[in-house]
Amino acid sequence: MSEQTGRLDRGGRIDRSRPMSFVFDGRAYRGFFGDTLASALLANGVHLVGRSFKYHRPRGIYAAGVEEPNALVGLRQGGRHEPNVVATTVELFDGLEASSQHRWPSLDFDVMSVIDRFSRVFASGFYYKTFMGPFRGAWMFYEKFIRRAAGFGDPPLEPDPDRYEKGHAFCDVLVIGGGPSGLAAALAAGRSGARVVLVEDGAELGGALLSRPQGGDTDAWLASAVGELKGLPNVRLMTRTTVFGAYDNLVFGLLERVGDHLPVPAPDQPRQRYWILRARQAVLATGMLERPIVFGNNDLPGVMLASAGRSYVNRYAVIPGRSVVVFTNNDTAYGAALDLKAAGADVAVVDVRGAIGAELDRAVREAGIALHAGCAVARANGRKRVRNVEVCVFDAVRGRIGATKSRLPCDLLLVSGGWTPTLQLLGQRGAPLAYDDKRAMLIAGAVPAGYRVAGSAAGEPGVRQRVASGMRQGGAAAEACGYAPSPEPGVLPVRLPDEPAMTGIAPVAVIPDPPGAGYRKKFVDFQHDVGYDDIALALSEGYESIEHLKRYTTLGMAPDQGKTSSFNALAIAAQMLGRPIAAVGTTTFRPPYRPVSIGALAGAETGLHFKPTRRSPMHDLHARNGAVFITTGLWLRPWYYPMPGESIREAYVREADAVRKSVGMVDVSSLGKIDVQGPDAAEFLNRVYTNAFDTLPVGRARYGVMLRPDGIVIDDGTTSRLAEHHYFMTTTTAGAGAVMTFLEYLLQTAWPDLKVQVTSVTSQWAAIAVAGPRSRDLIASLVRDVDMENAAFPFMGVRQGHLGAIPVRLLRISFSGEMAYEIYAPAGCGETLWRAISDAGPAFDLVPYGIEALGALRIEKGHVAGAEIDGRTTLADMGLARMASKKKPFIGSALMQREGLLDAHRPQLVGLESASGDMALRAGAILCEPGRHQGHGIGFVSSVTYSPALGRHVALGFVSRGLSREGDVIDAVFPLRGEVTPVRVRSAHFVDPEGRRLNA
Amino acid sequence: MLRIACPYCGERDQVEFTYGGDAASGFPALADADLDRWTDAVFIRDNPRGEHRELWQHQHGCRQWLYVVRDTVTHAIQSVVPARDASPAAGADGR
Amino acid sequence: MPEQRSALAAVYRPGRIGAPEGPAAVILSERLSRTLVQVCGWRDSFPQLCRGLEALLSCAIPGDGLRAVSHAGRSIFRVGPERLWVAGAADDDLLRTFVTQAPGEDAVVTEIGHSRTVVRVAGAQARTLLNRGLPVDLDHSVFPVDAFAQSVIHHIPVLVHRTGPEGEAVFDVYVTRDYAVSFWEWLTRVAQALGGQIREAE
Repeated sequence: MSEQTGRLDRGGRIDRSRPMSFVFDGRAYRGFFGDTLASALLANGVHLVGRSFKYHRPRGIYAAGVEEPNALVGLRQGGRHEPNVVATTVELFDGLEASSQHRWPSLDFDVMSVIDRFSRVFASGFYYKTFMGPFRGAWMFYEKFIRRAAGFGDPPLEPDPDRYEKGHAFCDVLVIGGGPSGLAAALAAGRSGARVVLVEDGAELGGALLSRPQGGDTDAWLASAVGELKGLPNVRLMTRTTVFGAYDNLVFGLLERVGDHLPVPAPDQPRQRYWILRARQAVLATGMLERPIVFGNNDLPGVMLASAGRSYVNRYAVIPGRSVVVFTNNDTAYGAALDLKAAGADVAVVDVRGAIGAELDRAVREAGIALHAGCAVARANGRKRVRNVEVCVFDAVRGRIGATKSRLPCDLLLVSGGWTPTLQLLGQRGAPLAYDDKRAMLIAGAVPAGYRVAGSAAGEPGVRQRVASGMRQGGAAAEACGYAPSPEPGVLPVRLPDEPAMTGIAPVAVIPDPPGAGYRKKFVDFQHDVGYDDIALALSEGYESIEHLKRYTTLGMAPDQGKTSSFNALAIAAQMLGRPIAAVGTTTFRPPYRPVSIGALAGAETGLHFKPTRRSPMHDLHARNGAVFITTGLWLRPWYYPMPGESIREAYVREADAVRKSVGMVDVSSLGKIDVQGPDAAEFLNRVYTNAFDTLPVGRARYGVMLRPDGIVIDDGTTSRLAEHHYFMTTTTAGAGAVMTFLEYLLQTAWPDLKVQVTSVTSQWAAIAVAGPRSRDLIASLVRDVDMENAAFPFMGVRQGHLGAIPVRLLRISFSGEMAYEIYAPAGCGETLWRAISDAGPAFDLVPYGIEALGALRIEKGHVAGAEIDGRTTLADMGLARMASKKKPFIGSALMQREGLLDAHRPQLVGLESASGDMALRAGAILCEPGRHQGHGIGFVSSVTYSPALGRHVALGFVSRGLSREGDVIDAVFPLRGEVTPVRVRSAHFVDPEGRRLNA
Repeated sequence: MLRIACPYCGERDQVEFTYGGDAASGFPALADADLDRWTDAVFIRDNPRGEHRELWQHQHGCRQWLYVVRDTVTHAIQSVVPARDASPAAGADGR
Repeated sequence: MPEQRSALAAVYRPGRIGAPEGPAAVILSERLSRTLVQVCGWRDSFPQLCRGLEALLSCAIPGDGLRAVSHAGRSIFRVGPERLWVAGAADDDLLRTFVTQAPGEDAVVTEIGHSRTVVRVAGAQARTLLNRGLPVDLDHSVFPVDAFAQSVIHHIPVLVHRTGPEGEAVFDVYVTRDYAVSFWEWLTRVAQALGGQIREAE
């Protein structure tokens, strides 16, 4: 294990008493608690951390925060492996394992880096130009090689063992960002009593203050501000949390990293939590990010943002280089120069500006820093780490460069090209950004209602101004929520120091190649390997719109979403086009601001919990009785009840057989049930059903069909009249929700004058169908207070009585075609009801049956179900034309007369069976005239089963003019398996077409 | 995500609501068998940029159908009234 | 009528969940066999119906969909414009008579007690637990005692009622019965992370 050669002996916000060991690319290193993976690597002198995505160029750590474009690593192993993790945001933990990406066989020696030599071939539009048009076939050949070389990181191949949670949160004022302005905004809003949520991306509050020297003048302020906030019960501080999306109505998406800083999440704790937060006001205190300057070889390891250099030395006590050149176009980089010098590095500054302010100039001289004013770093040299930089005379106003003046040896080049306020969240709301010439930055143009921008995100230059703006915006946000301003609005816990303003900047984004010095690649988007030339090429090919430029070059489309590159691309495009930056515009920002794991978005909704499950009141009993369950929609229903050693086929054939020969019982609790009451109930049902319900006598049930307004069948079911103004409607299991919603829609929008109340009582009632020739005898043995005789209780009769002590509704209706009853009891009595019937069963050869047998029975009988009522079929299609009343209008009665729905060639419901021998048919097969297997054919097979009653396979289907084709043999074609089966058309009523069994 | 101010339940998340289609065209009288009028009501829709009248049901709340005027560009909701109080043809504001 | 079987019978196991020791952040319990009756009316006569109910139940009838009225062991929710739920104890005989004898000329009564499973969620982290799935603000300032909301948790329709006493976080969740096991699985899984206790059903 190597020494931490880059670690300072003193200072920093790390805890030297808590050493941590970690592994990078198989080598062990040491760091401290408080480090990031990036700072720990730098402390160990590791600069080369990855290869670039496209050209496999060596890349080093470029930033110290979320904007890092280069240092993407694979973290953890197995199911917890995560690719493309930004090393600068990974909190170091003991035992951390990380590996570099985009290299083979090793980071140091990468075979694919040969691509870099041909980088001009792989310029913008490479794929479009190479694999479209006449050479499209080449893609087939090259694809596997390209796929192997391309792509970001390696996905995990095992299931993720961690759990994820969702959370809903609400507040008055959301403050995004825990830097000086965010803390001030939270203080101002919190003091006034508003419910405040402050969200900070990092583990610690303080933002940029944490990158100042430890023990410095702002630490006291930070400690007291955080202390006061922690004492306010109405303020919630959320660290390690990112606001990644800003949506309509001040709704925000947040990702809380609950366990990412630990080797594995704590017991029972989620790894991450996805929050949906609703705020009444939002303050963006999101800070700003430093941007690079574009020059030759600007992507060499050892080239880094100036702010990152400052952060490493002050926050992590890591000196990323001993011999440092700072290359800048503005004042702010001097903070890094001075701090690194104070930490013992040898520092020189190259500034594109001819002169700097007197105060700054004096500080630089006193510190012993060499200043090369009016110069630029034209290129960096070195192989896997910067060794020297070429400095040229540079005219920042005209952008003209002279020949190389000198080579400065260095092992670290810090770069500052100015700052870009972090306004992605405003951009997501569609708010325009405006270019501020003086500060050379994009600031908020119009701020949407409910939003405010504070601190450096608003371009405020110094800590005092940032805090003051936070106070102002936080207070105003609370006031907008109706809270009186706090009595001490601007009073700060501790006075902040006066600082010289560091605001000067020369807006230079790119340094041209020095005359006669040859070509070097200059990178704009490090993460997607998009260079200066790519922008030039795209513009020359006419992609002048910034949105087109983005897509053609893929600039800003990598996981970092152009945090360090978008502005420079804009500035370079503006320069090339000879237009002002404001005229070029910006690309659209979309969520997420940072990548969000799919696991977090899914939360608990995975596997069996993807959707909730609905269970019948008798579910536990079925499980105890050995039922095999099947999912139908959200419901879990008994599929069949196998005897020991029985297959599904054997089981359902036995079950269906019992229904035809003795008696069976089936759980039909999932049927939709709707209570319809009111003086206009009869009129209402007359309007929604195609047939009449006002003529239905009390104590009787009637089969009914409903259409959509467009004339297509929506659902069917049986509705009973319990009293003059009281009906009990049943719907199909699948149609229950839609029917309920439709009834409510009609009552509330079309006919609010009707006095009808509809209530879903699906869950109130357990339901059992008892079917078979012995069903009456079985029920009569149990129900004493209802006359079960055929004359007294005929087919379609409805009675109320008791089965044992259970109050029940008895409906004599049938889905199987046998004599049958549906018994409804309050859900909590469902098990008792089932058990009572089942206990009495042996004397009647009762068999419980599942929905496989139920399906077989209804297909034999030619009853339609979901496969036939598929949202395309009319009454006539299903042979139900007689269901349409001619005496009254009903929903759909007008549009069912449309020409297309009356077409005589429409497919009609028929029965089908194999024409040669007994062959199983396939649902979904296309029906065609013999030998003419073209297009959509003349119909399709909708439902299939083996019919226990007929002892052969049968099917329902739709055939053009089917009713007139009884006896014809046509082809059932199943192209997916290359099957053609001749089938004979026949009546859909395979069993008891006269209905004698029903009425027995 | 929208937040919709239900007149009965207060402001709630969009997940509790179901979009119920265009509210600009009313429901013809049931006895009206005119195919053109029904076709207009059921199939023909405007696609306005800006103010849009639409129906939502507070499905997981009070189950009331609501008449909502919403801007299709900004998503801003201008008004929410119970559908039964809005004249189907004219809309909540009487226009 | 025979005893009403709990939809949670097969999965309900009193005891600790999550952290085995320390104070329970959430306390879960089922409220068995609650009587629940829906009373609806018509727009023109509903105020009159409410006056009749006020006399019968000796308490005010809520006027909006935000606050319930709780009195004498009953809670009354206005779940829709002319729609009330009256919840009471298992042996609330007066409520049960509503089903056979409507409490008013224009009253439409539907018994729905079997259609809901009632789970009580209490404890210091009760709000945190519910808000892992419930998209409704439960903060005391906007959700005081007797506030209620019909909403959805993990795609499951629920009515959440904050019951007393004042100063404590106690919520009754009315879950549609056939979703009860799924809801319970969700609830206990999330409760694991907070540490809690399942009490005997009451």
